[in-house]
This record gives sequence, C-alpha cells and structure tokens, in this order.
Amino acid sequence: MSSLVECRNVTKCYSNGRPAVYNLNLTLEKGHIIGLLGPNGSGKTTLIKMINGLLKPTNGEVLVNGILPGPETKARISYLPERTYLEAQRTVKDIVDFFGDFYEDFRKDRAYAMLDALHIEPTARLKNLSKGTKEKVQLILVMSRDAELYILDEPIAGVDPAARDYILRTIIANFNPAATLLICTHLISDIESILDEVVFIRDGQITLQTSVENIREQQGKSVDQYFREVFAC
Amino acid sequence: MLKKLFTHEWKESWKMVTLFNVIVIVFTLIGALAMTNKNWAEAMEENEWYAIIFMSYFMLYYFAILALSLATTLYFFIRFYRNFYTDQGYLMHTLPVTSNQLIISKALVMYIWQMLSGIVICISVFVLINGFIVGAGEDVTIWELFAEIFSEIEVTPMVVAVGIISVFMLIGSQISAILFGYLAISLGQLSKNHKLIASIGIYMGMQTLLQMLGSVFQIGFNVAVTNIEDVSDGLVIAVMLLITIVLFAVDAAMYAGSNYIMKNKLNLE
Repeated sequence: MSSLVECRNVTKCYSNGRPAVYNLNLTLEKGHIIGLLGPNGSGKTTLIKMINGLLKPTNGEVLVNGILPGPETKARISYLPERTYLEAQRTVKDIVDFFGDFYEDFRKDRAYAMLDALHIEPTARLKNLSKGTKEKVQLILVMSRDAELYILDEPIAGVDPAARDYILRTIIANFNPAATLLICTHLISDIESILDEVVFIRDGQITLQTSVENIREQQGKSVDQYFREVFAC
Repeated sequence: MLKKLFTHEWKESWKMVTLFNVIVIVFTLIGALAMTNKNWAEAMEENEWYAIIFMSYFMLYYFAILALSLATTLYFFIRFYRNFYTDQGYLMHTLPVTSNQLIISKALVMYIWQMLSGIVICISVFVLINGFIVGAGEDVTIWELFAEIFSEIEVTPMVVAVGIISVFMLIGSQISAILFGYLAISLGQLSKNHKLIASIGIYMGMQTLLQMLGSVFQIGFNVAVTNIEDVSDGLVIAVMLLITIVLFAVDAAMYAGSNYIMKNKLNLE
C-alpha cells in the first residue's frame, strides 16, 4: 500500500501560543475509509485544515501524494467542511456549474442524479433551503467528484436520521475504491459499519491508529463503545 | 483558472453594480430632460420655488454620485471579505487555484467596474451641463465647447509626456485604492477577535497616516518649487515620474502583503 497523506512531526500553534496539534505523525494509505475520532478541541479540524492547505503548520510538514498542499493537491482532495460555505444567493444549479468549472473530476450527471433522489430542485436558491438540505447539497457536491481523497467533517450531523442512511449509502456508492475517505464525526455508531480504520486523536496527538477489525477482535467492543471508554470524562 | 475565476466574479457581481449605475443614469436623464425643456436661469429669477427645486435636485444628484462611488467600492470590498475570510473561504481556498489568482481576479473585476462607474459619472456630469446650456438657449453644446478648448491646446512633447504620465498615475492610484482595501481587510484577519472591526480600524488608520504623509510631501514639494527660480520641464517630468514609480512600488508592496497573509497566515474560523 502506498501512502496518500503523510504528516511528519507536525505542530500547529495559534496566536495564543498553545499547540492545537503537537509533533503529530500520521500516514494515511490509499483505498481506505478512515474515521478520525476525538473529543472536542482534540485537533481534528486543525489537522484537516492543514491537509487541505487552509492552515500552514508551525513546524513539520504535511504531504499529499508526496507534495505540499497547493493547487495540485486541492485538485485531488474533495473536502466537506462542517460549515455552510456556499453563497446563499446562488441557486443549486449555479453551484453545480461552479464545481464543474473548477474541478476536472466533477461529474455533473452524478450530482443531478443525487439531487433528484433527495428531491432537491436545481433551481432553488440556497437561502431558501433548510440547514439540513444545504448540508445535503454540499455533500452531494463533494461526493460527485472522482477525487483521490475525500475529507468529510461532520457529514451527517445536521441531517435527519432517515436521510443519514441515504447519505451513507451515497458515500459508499460513489466512493472510488482506489480513493481514501477520511470521516470526522461524533456520530460514530452511525458510520461505524462503513469504516475500515480509525484514528484516535487527543490533545493534538495521535493516540491510536488501527483497523476496526482489530478493535472488535482485541477489545471485544464496537468502535463506539471503545471510543467512549478511551475518552471517558 | 484565472479566466474562470474572473468570469464567475463578473457573473456574480454585475447585476448589483449595474443597478448602482442605472440609478445614476436615470437621475441624470430626468435632470437633463427637465433642464433641456426649460430655461432654469430665467425660471429661478421669476419664481423662487424653481430655485429650491433646482438646488434640491443638484444636492440629491451630488449624493447619488457620491453613493455610486462609495457603494461600488464597498460592495467589492465586502465581496472580498466574505469570499475569502468568512465561511465562504472554505470553498474559495480549496479551489485548485493560487492565492495570486484569487486576488488578481477580484481586483480586475473591481478595477473594471470602478472605471465604468467613473465613465458613467463623467458622462452624466457632461449630459447635465449640456442640458443646462441647451435649456438656457445657447447655440452651443458642451461637446462643441470641449472640442474648442482641446483645439487650442498646443501639442508639445511636454504636454504629451505629462499626459502619458498622468494616465499611469491615474491607473496607479486606482489600483492603490483597491489594494489598500484588500491589505486592510487581510491585516484585520490577523487579529484574534473582531476581525472585521480590526480591518475597518486598520483601513482608517492607514488612510490617516497616508494623508499626513501626503500633506508633508506636498508642503515639501511646494517649498522646494518656490525656492527654485526656474522650474524646468525636465524637473516637472522627473517629479511626476518619481511619484508614479513610488505609487506602483506601494501597489506592489500592498499586493505582496495581502498575498502573503492569504497564503501563509490564513486562519478561517
């Protein structure tokens, strides 16, 4: 297996001087679905931002396919942030066209098929959609790409349980087996069934990286149960 | 990618800025038509109400033009801030483009709209003055007056040089106005809290500082010119060239500052 993401001795300090990520080493290989799990403030989002080139490490380096984050890596990563980041005045179709223009790997037909399945009108303006529907639109845009790395930050937090099943099915159905999917969420039990591997992060450092199978076999617990045990307050 | 960014920025901004310009055009046409059909100079002498209407119109017209300039500038600064430093930044900064391309595409669209708005304002003023002249029953239009003035200017190498340098100074100062705003907004993002307020504070502070420096330079220049008995054409050209070079150097520094912050110090909430 070749590595897709490599973090070498990565430290990120914000203006308060306290490191959000400290001397972190992590390798993510191709073709895996990985859960990035940790309590609030553990450094998950900081790590994700650095992989996406939205933050620069204070020390160390993050490499995607062997190169530093930049336009080339951004063309290969499909990122879903936990924020609603689309301009409210635009229609869904405008956004689909926008993604189609900038990402060569974007598949418009796939996006429209998913919009249709979730009964989202392409002519609807984003400002008129509910928060949950906006999140569905964002997820559709991200999963309509043939990316090498998908990074989903809380992809199902804002949607109703009925839609969660559809979304998880959508993720699996549209996921290229050669690609890597990194999911960051607190709803572990909902996504556990699709994970190959988990990464536990606490205080900006990786405390565990192992396969889901290992946790089940060695600990005799589900990932959700094990997470609760490890991060019990 | 720059072309795509430019196209999208244009598509997303043209409606609002066109609306600002259309308001000024409509305002101008109402005034010009009213003045063309009435001799306001005579009417004001006969009835004071005409004077009040005339003055009110010009006050409103002045504010409309001021609002057009301000609204255009503010609109594009807000777009820059929202697109790059709020949640929308998560989209813009994960596009497969460089920070240079992001800034240049925005600056180009803003520059073109500032030029277009400037042209609209100039034409509007001419049309109004022309309406007043025609309404007063004069046999000449403003266009003929201008043609006469320009025909009297003797085209010497000095006039040509001053004209060319002035065009560059105008372009440089327009670019300055854009990059100045971008730098203030970008510097504000380095603040820990209240980033927008910090941006506004930095903008106002930098403006004040620049005005003070400008005044000092102006006083120094005036003193120097007074003490020189014969101000040669060469000296005038040299000073103008120096100002233009400094202007473009400042533009480059402001651009580099914004680009550095966007590339290395980005910190979206």
